[in-house]
Order: sequence, then structure tokens, then C-alpha cells
Amino acid sequence: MREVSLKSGRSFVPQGWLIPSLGLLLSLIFATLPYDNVFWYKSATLAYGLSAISYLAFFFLRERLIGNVATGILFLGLLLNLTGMIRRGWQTYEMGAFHPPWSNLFEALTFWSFIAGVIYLLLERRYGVKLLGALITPVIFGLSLFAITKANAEITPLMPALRSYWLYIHVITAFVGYAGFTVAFGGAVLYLLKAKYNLSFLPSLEVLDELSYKSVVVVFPIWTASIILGAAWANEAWGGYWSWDPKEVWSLIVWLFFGAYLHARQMLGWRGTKTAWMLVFGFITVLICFFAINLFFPGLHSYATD
Amino acid sequence: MFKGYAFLILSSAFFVGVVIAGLFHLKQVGIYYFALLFASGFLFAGALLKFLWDSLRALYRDYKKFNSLPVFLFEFFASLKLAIFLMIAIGILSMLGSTYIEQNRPFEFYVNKYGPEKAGWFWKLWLNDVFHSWYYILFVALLALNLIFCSYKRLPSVWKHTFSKERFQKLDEHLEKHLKPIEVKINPDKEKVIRFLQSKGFKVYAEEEGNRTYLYGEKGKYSRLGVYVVHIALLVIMAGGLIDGLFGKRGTVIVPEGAREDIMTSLSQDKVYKLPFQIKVNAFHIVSYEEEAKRKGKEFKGDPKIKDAIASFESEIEIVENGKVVAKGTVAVNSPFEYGAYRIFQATYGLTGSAGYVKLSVFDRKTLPEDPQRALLGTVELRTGQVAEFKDMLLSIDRSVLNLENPKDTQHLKPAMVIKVLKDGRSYDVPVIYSPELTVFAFFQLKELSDFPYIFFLEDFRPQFFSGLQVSYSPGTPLIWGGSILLVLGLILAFYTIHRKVWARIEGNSLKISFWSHKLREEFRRSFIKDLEELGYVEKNFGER
Repeated sequence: MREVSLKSGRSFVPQGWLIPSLGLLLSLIFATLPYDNVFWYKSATLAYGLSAISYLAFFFLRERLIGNVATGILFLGLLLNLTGMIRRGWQTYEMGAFHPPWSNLFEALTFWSFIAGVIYLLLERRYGVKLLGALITPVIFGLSLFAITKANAEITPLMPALRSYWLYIHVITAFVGYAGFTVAFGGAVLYLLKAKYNLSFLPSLEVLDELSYKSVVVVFPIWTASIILGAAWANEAWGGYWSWDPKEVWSLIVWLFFGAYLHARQMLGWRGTKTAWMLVFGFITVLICFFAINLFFPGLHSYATD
Repeated sequence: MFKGYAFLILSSAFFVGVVIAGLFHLKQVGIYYFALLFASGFLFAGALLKFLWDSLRALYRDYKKFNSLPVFLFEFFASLKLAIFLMIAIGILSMLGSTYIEQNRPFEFYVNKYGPEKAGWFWKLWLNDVFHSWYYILFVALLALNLIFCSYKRLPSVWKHTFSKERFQKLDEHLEKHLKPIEVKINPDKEKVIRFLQSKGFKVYAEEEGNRTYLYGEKGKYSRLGVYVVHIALLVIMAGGLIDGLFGKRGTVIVPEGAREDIMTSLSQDKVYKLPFQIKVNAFHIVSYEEEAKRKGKEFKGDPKIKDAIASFESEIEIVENGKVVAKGTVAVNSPFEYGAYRIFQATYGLTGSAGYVKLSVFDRKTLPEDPQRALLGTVELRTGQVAEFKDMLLSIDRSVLNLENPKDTQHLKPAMVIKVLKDGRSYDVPVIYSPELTVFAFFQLKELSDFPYIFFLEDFRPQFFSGLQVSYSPGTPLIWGGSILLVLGLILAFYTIHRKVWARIEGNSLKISFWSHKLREEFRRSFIKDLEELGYVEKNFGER
């Protein structure tokens, strides 16, 4: 066969950028108002709670209007969360000790909520899987609520070892990873529910399976990059790229686990229930990697608990 | 499949839970605990034996199938099940080493914490250093072997279907049986179909045969090489890790201000190395936020509460080799100093417990009571380990304490010290205490000082710090970074691009088309069929390979 190639004019029109950029603008405007960052975080938590209720109501009533309201409130919550982050960043700057708003436990949890929410909304737009929201938004609400009630929201200067430009990029990649694995977990749970009870209102099994798979596929290279960036930072700050610190090891465990998942799916052709259970177990390792290591086991990452 | 594993997973979780509770949580273990331990151990052992038995039987079946040991071994090492098993096994072993048992501590630590019996077991099972244990290394080595065999086994067929000429298959009646194409009723316009495929990013190949046109389109074929790049990258990283494991050194060097040191203690404190050079710390600074702003030429305008908070700390160091200074620089947090293949990091700091810098005002003893203004002769600055000159004296700090009243409380400084003075060939020990009254009191108590013409008062004082430096020598680092970059590139290639193929046949106003995607088939199928509708009427008996 011979290659044929025909010239054709292709046009590129960015779609759907208007509402997000308006939201960003609104967040920036809100952030100039003289309210403390915690106020915005609390409002965001409230909005997440309301949107979780709406998504659950949509799950049971399947009313189109409720679904739209749920999406709207989630969007509002994300906007408020972003406002809180911008405000907090500004407040740390005013204090004379600027750090990005993802440095301690409080900031990390709220940042995780934010990223998970954004990824979920993108998926909702692309796949129309609104019912996944009934699973994801309660998780987002829970994370946010935990941050507000249990974590220390006070702004304190960072400890010297954290004051590095690596903080920006290493933490962002890590949280995109956490958020993606959360979404994959949501998809897997819906899959298992659908497979067990044959719930007709859920998207088809294939769509759910692939949704989970896709979020792992997208996030896996980012998670890898995060581990590598962490190693690069450790090589600047701690004197070695790998110290078998519990956080390092657990991020490796997560990596190995999802690596096994990807192999099982792509090469062994495992699908459906088996891989969905793998994702559920994988999410447990993700939770341990985030919470247990910071809270219970001593190591170099434990300063993130304050 | 999980039906077979559920029992194993549950029983092992149960057993591990019981063991952890017994080892780390329960203060006393009684008969009930042992009964539970026995029961859970029994369940776990049963499940494990069943798993091993099943695995061995499956292996034996494979062996019978191939009927040749080399082939069997090759297939075994190239099998994906082994890969998944190893990945999960390494994951579980890593859990062992990163949760309950602190790693790399001296043996006494475990004895104190867990008692001699348990500590002995930890030692024997390498639980104090899981990541350097023979079984961990064995599993990693097996994974490396598995990676090589897997790639070797699969690459030729991937190559054939992705890069060789054989991939240009015509969608004729024979292939149709395999690919089950969709039929689309179109205007007999070949160009439109080609344009459509090109707009979807396909590279299109065509061949005409009578009234038929065969099309073959593909995109993202290099995605298939991504996985090999990833595997090679992982091997490179493992090689780097191995080199560092064999030849690398890492440890702590503690250097008090003004001193030099070449002894490095390993992190587990069980080995001592002698560096081929000495590190001399000339000065140690704690940099506050205020100080940091000042260095940038700005004034600190932030919250006054944090102006003294620690922003960074740093040591001014010199590298001394054979008594000569060969390099000089500053080591700060997040900013290491490199000397040859060695890297020096600022890890910690602390107080040595004695004076580092002292500024004394020297008064004439006789005239002091009458006219303190006239009695002031000047000031002299002393540093630990150095001798200063003032008038006819040579002075140095002999010994000192940071807090005279409570030696343990070094938060609050109430220093006292003895200054060694050489004057006219005679040696004096002169006391200096933080408050002038106490200094005077102590000074006049001492008979030996009755003919000493001066008296010293403390003007300024800074305790002596030690700088905790980490030194690492890891010759494998370039391999690690090279491998890491390759790894990320490979992952991007493998996961962010997708290999897709289309086969089509145009005959009259019928377009038969089938398509294949290496990943995310469902998504591709939906969107592709939807897009096909812009070409014409799509028959609804969807088929896909």
C-alpha cells in the first residue's frame, strides 16, 4: 500500500474555556475581599456538603434539574476552595513567609479536595457520568471537613527543609495522582455496584471500567514523575535520592500496585470485577500512603502533619 | 479468579492483624491471644498452602505442555503472572519495612523496645533492614530478570504488527471474517473518506484493485515502544541503585564551629568511614526570615511574630586535603556543596554546650570603682579555638557553660566561662559570668588573681554550634537520573499516545470499515462510530475486533 495524504484546513477552536476562566476571575476578585482564608475554606466545605447532598438526591430521584444544581454547587465549592487557596497564599506572602497553599496537612487535604473536584467535573463533562458524583463528592466533602475540623489551619512558617522550589512541582504532581486514584476508585465502586445489582441508571459497565482505567492511565505517569521529583528534592535536601522513608516506600507500593493493575488489564486481559477489586485495594494503599504515614509512622515526611 | 484469592487475602490480613496486635499493641498476651494467633495462623497457612499447591500444579501443567526445561524456564520468567506476583510481593515486603518496625537502628534499640527475644528474631529475619535483606534483593533481581525476558519475548511480534510491511492488510473477504467491519452507505467519494481519516489523525495508505479501494490507516504506532523504553529505564534505575548499594557511602559528619572532621558515621550508626578529606566549619549561621530579607536588600515587612523564625541554616565550610584548603563554600538547607563525587548537605545543627563567640570589655581593676568611664580600656573578641591579643595579654576561652543555674536549659542563656590569660609569662584563669555583679563577686573570691590588673565583663555572647552535615558518595546517581528521565518519557509515550488502526474497503457506495485501538477501546469505539455518521448512514450492527 502507498501512503496518501490530502491537505485540509483544520481549525482549532478552544471549547468550554469560558466558564472556568470566569470562575478563576471570580476567585481572584473574591480573594481580594478582607476575609480570612479559613472563611473561604469553610464556605467551600459547606458547598461541598450541599453538592454531595444534591448528587445523592440526583442519584435517587434522577431529576435533571437536581443534577444541574449539583454540578453548579460543586463548581461553586471549587471556586470558593480556589479563593481560599489564593487568599491563603496571599496571607503567607503578607506574613513574610510565602509558601504555596499545599504545604501542611490542612492545606494538603483541601488541595486534594480541589484537584479531585476539578478532575471529576472534567470527567462529568466528557463522559456524562453524573452518578459518579454521588460517590466522589461525599469523599471530597469528607476530606474538606476533616481538614476544617481536625487539622491545624493556622499559618506557620515552613520548616527550612521544605522551603524549596521543588515543593511546588512535587506536591502538585503528587496530588494530581491522589485525585486521579480517587476517581478511579469511585468508578470501580460504581462498577461493582452495577455488576452486583444491575442498576439500570448507571452508565454501562464498559464505560465505568474504562473510566477507572483511563484515570489510572492518565495519572500513573504523573505519579511516577512525582516520585522522581521527590527523589530529586531528597537529593538536594536530605543527602540521598532514596532513603526508604515510609512515605517514599508507600508511594512505591502504590506505584507497584497500580503497575500490576495496568499489566493485568492490558496484557492479561483482566477486566471488570477483578480489576475493579484491584482498584479498591489500590485505593486503600493510597489512603495509607497519604494518612497513615503522616499521622502514625515516624519519618521525614511527618512534618506535614502540623 | 478473585474467588480463589479472597480466602488468601482475608486470612493473611487476619493473621497479620493478629500478629501486629500482639507485637505492638497489646501490653500482655494471654491464652486467648495465643488461641486466636493459632487459629489465624492455621487459616493463613491453609490458604497459603492451597495457593502454593495450585501454583505448583499450574507450573507443572505448563512444564508438561512445553516438555522441555529451557522452554519452560523461559516461559516462566517471561510470564506476566510472575511479573504481577513479583510486583505485589515487593509491595507487601515494602510494607513490612515501612510501618511498624523502625529500620536501620542499632541492635540495642530493638532490644530496648521489644525485648531480647523479639529483637533476635527481627535481626535473623532482617526485619530491621528489610530493603537490604537477601529476600528483598532477590525479588528485585527476579523482577529485573522478568522484565528482560518479557520484553525479549514480546518485542518481535509487536514489531511485526507495528513497523513491518506486513501490517498493511487489505480488508478483503478473508480479513473481514476476523475484523467484522461496519458498513457505511456513502457517496462514492474516496477523497472524503481519506480526508475524514486524516482529520482523525490517521496516516492513510491506499491501494486500488479494480472497482475496490483498500485503505489502511494508523496512528500512534510509536506508543507501542513506550513500554520497552519504560522497562529499559527501570533496568537502568535498578543498575544505578545496585551500584550505589555496592559502592555508595552515606553518613553523618558532625563538626563543631571552628573545628575540622573527617570521620563519617553511617546513618544506622554501625559503621564508621574515614573520608579522604577533612571538612572544616568556619562559621555556622541560623538565618531568620528577617535576616533573609536583609540579605536580599529588603526590609522585613511581614508579621513581627515570625521575623525570628528559622528560614534556613548554613555552614561556611572548607575542604582540607593533606593540610591544604582545596575548596571553600557554603552549605545551606536545600543547597548542597559538591566536592568531586562527594556531596555535602546541611542536615541538622545543635549546641555543643560551650561558648562559640565572646566579646569582653576590659577594665582596669584599680580605677574601676572610682571612674568606670576612664577604666574602660577596650573590648576584645574571642572565638573558641582561637587566641586573641589585647595589650600585653594573650586570651582564649578555656571552658564554659551556657546556663550556669540550670545546665540542661540551653533555651535561656546564662553563660559563665573561664578565660585563660597569658601575661608576662604567667597564666591566669579569669572568670566571666553573664551578670557583672556575679563576675565581680567571683573575681574577688579568687586569691590567684590578686595581682591581675584587669577585670573582664561580658559584652556579647554566642554559644558554639555544631553543624550536622550529611555526606554522600553515590556513583550511581547519573544512572538514576538518566533512567528516571527515560522512565517518564517512556510512560508518556506508552500512556499518552495510543496506537490505533483502521482498515477500510470502498466498493460502490459502500464503505466497510473496521478499527482497532490498543487502549481505551470502548471510548474510541463510541466516538469513532459517532464520527462516522458524518460520512453517511451507519449500519447498526457494530463490529470491532
